Amino acid sequence: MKLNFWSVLYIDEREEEEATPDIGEYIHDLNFDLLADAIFGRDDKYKDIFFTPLRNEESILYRLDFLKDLENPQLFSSLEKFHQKLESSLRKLHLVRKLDYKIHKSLWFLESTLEYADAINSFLSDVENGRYSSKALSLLIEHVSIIKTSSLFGEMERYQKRLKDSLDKFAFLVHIKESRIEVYPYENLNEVKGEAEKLFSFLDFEAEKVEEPELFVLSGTSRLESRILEEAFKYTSGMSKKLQDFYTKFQNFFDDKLEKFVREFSYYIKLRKFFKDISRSYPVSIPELSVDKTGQFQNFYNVVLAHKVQCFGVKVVTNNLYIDSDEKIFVITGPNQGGKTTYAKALGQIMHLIRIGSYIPASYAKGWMVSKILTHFEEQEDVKENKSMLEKELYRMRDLIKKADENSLVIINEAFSSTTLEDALFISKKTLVILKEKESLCFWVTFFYELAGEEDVVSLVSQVDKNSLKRTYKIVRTFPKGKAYALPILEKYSLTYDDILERMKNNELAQGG
Amino acid sequence: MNLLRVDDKDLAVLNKEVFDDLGVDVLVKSASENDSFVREVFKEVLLSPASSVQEIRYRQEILKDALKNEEVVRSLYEILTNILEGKRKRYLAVFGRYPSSLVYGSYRLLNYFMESFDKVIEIKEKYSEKFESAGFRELFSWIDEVSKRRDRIESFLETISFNKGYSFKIGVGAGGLFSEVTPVIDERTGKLSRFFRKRVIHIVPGDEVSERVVFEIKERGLYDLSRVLSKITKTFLKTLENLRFSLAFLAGALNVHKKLNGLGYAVSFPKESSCFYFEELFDPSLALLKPSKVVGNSLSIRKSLIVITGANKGGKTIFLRSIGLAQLMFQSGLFVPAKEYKAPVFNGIFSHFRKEEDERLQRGKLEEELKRMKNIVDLLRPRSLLLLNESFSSTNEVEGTEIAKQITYALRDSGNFVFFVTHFARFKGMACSEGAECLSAEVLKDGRRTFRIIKDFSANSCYGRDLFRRIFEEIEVK
Repeated sequence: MKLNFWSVLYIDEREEEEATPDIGEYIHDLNFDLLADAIFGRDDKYKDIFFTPLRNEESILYRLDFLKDLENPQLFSSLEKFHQKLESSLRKLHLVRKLDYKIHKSLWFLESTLEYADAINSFLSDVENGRYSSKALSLLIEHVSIIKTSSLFGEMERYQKRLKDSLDKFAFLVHIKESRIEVYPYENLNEVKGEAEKLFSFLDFEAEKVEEPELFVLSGTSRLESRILEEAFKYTSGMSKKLQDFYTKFQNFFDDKLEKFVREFSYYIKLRKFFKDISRSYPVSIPELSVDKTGQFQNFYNVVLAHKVQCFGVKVVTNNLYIDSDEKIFVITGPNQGGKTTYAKALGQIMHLIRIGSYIPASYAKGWMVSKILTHFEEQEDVKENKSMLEKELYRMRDLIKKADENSLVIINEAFSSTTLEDALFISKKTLVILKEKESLCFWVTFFYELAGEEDVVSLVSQVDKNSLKRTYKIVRTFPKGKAYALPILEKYSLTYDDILERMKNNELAQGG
Repeated sequence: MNLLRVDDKDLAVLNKEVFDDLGVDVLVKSASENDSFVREVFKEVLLSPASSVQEIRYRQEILKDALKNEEVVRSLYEILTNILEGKRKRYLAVFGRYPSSLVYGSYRLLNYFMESFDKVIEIKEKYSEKFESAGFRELFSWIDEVSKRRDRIESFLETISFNKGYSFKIGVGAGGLFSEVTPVIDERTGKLSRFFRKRVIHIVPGDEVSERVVFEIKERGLYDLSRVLSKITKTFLKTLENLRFSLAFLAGALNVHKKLNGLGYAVSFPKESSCFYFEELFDPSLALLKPSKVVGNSLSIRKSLIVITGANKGGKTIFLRSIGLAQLMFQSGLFVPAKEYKAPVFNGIFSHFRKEEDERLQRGKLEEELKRMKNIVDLLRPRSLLLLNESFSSTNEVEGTEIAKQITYALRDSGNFVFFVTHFARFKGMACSEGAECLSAEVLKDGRRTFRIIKDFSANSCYGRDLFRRIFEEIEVK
């Protein structure tokens, strides 16, 4: 009987088959490479899942619903235990393949099946009275129940018990002299320790304290142990045959869907762990999907930065943003190091995390599914080659725009800085017009505050505290003050235009006068 | 099994000055007879006196046995010394972290002990009948236990030598892991092994991995056994060490006894009583030093504050010392330097002697004295003995009297015995009429000192009244 398809990651077969990671510049530009490393370490297969955008809203909701179920601590703990046991059973199964000797193989095989059965039984009893709502989880539970009630599983359990009972009673003798090991059938012989205790009972030695000697633990997988077992089992009446038969009969006991579950759930475990860590200091939530291209982001922040500065006791600033359905282009200006790029990256991170059905770094976020994320970040190249740099950049921008559509997210950071101010402005304005036509959602970080004044553009400015002149890293909708914000700091150091003129005059007077 | 049964819980407390104040070193030295171990032991036991009557009686019985069988005890001491010295010289010890090292170490040490034990068993066979005390009876019964099991122990030692290899019972657990590896006694190997069906695995020379696994199986298997053997060996060793310790003490006691008897002094085994009573009590340290015979004191004291006054160098300090030493010896289970001696058993014995050099009146010295007194009070346990020699004399009589009164009365009233040698006449007068026992150094009519301490009737309030009644009785009756 072919069991129905299911997966805790993908809503249907097609989604799974067509799953392709979206590899683009955005991964590096938005620091997703660092984020993926932080969450998954070196494991590429999980990173593939992490970078694969889902096809439609249903697929995203499939995952988000599952995440909501995981918020229930009992459910999560049952799933975690189930996962651990299945993983352990699989490890033992792999071990079986590596061993040469039949007895040893069949013994580890038995152990693997025992763990598998225990995993299934415990899981079903754990979730018996649980409340859950996601389709993914219901399908999983249904699938596990079908396995449990299958005749194969029942037979396996009965067989296991008989074998385990015999094994528990089994023992044998060895006699070791130098490099010669003799294996004997078991006989009830006196233990040396018992003899010592009886003989010296008159000494009253029990209470004496002695130092703990080193306790050696055997690996259970060495060739010598295999050989010894092989010989020892020859003394058993048919137990080796029973073990081998068991191995042959139930060789493929491990359900392949459950094997898939082990891989898929590992993904969730790692994702959840990362965000749980972050949630100790910052808000984390499960996003909502918007159907009308309106967006709402409350207390959002750049999660890569937050993760990076965790150890330094510094706190990353959060921001809020509302996007109306007809707002597409956002120009972000403000003083250097004011958090503009961080802000733009944060929004990019959130939109990607939404499209893969993940937790997001915000107290609340509602966004829509973007199919493409296109970024254009200033390249840190040698400034000497000015001419070719601009050309390269223009080509890059052109390619980007060609790909952009109404379901794209475009993030531009400090473009065209390798040419004259006039030229840069000209090119930028022209680019803006094209982007508007494409109707992509766009965030453009620039120091050309003139762009902020263009038509149909939302101006966001990073704020500076009036008194301390310190950056607040808060970015709000407002008009750029242009030169104005540069002034107070120049006044502080007497470096305004007037200041310098006056000083020059004084110097001249002092010298010449 | 411990011959002296020194139990840490039931010891009397002393202050550290006792050793010097009472002149303990002379006694200890004469007990040692050039054996430094005996000297150490004798000193240690003497300075940790028991505070339980049972413990004291128990030891007295042992000592009585020893006195009756001096040669046997001395031989036994020598044998034990040789056994333990031999162990040291051969570097036999149980050490190491690997179970196999511990097993091997135990094997060698137990083997050595069993070999050397023959002489001990011989002594028991020949002389055990002659001993009556509970302590020695227990010792000989312990020796008997060992002797009874000799053969079995020998064959057991052969087993744990593992000369013929290791036999283990192996139980199988999850995945074929050896869940149990237990050493068993397999009689058949070596003789009949070739007739029993067995399967053999040979490890190829150079197969380091398998050699390592064999090593691990052995060590794993020996773990429990090694712990048990360590305990057994350690206990055996401790028992022998305790025995040597106890015998050293007895040897010391025998030495002292011999010397004192040789000098013509009478010693006896004291009894517990609620008051002091003694006949011919002398200072043993002085006796052992002086060529001529020292004076003995005989008194019956019914009070617990005893004030001793009188001429200088009249024997007061010596008297104090003799009480102190007698009490230490009593509570260590020894005989005492007296023809008869009855006294309480104390929970603490303290001395507070004036320092010889400090004859001047200085404020600082008084504070030093009071500090020492405070240390004593801090250590004090109910029912203690305090020996005060010219205490508080570093200040004037008025102040000293008041201090002495407060302190000695407090000590007496809280259930302690206080012997106080002093020059404060005013204090003497007051104390003697308020319930203290007053003694003084005897001076004959011609002015000669006898160095004896006698009751001071002049201070006794009852005496005065008695005298009045006697003299005026004639008149009243008429």
